[in-house]
Amino acid sequence: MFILTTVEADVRVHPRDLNKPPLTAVTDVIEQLYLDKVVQDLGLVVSIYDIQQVQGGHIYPNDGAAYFKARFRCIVFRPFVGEVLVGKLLSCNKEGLRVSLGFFSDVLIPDYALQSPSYYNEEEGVWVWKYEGSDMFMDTGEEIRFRVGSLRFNATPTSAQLQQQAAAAAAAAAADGGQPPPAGPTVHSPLEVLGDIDGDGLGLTCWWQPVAEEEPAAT
Amino acid sequence: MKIIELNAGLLSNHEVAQVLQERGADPSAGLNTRAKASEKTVYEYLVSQAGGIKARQELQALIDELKPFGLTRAELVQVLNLAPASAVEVHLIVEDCEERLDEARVEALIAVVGRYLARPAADAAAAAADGDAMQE
Repeated sequence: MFILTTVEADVRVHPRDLNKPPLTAVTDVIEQLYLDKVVQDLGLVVSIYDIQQVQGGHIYPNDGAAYFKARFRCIVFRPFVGEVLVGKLLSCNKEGLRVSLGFFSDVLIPDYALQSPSYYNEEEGVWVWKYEGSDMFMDTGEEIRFRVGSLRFNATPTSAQLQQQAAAAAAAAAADGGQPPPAGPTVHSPLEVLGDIDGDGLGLTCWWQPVAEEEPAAT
Repeated sequence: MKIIELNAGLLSNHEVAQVLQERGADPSAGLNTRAKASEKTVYEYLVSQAGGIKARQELQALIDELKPFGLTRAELVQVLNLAPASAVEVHLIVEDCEERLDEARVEALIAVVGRYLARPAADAAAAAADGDAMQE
């Protein structure tokens, strides 16, 4: 689920950091800019692997900062389509499941990608897979194995789009019966991994344990 | 910024964990390390995965033993990451499994993997017995 990517970027080192050795100063800026950030169409940058080249160090008039050009390799979380991953079930709602990988919580398994036939139990708020007559509950906190279907990158919404979203939410709430719109900003996920658990071996790992008594037999 | 090479290589969880360990993401390394909180979270996740984190030399021996099975690079990385312990898991990882590996080969693959990547949930007795041989 991790790839190594070579990136070249312009790095601006603030004047207060100019007493550090250039390599350290550049590394610190790169870490601050890239670590734990999603780069569009690339993935979530997890760590810096190495710095290959640092050039420059020019200081331009009116700006005391030093500008470098750095080439480095970073470790990026970017699962490929068809990859099998294991995570923990975070939450269920009627649209599907949300799985967390510890460091990444935006894995969504939509309702059509669950083992068939599955149905949503409204009272308990969990999905249930009906396998050979018995109900297999998908409880939160359980380990779940899924296959990656696609990656979806969402661009950061501009302020105009945010205003539109707020207006739409207010209109929907007003149509609902005069209740106030949900408070707080909606969380924006820059990277969403869409997965499926429709297949042998997929779903809760406890369903497919080789030694327990009552799990489905592998074909 | 410019992406020079999008995919310079596929990394297995073990390799990423090793890089993070060198940066000090291990909880035992204390608080004053280069690793940021997000890296520590990643390290925590990797360590909790099936098979645990193994050193490069042990993995090399496993990779050599897996060569005769004819796995693609992506499948090899997935085997290292997931440590399949049953036929169902192997079928998930290997494409066209029925054509490329018959039942005996699948069992052999599971046996090879089991020798190097012991499951944390597996019987402690078996793991301890293998562990003595591994931890030399």
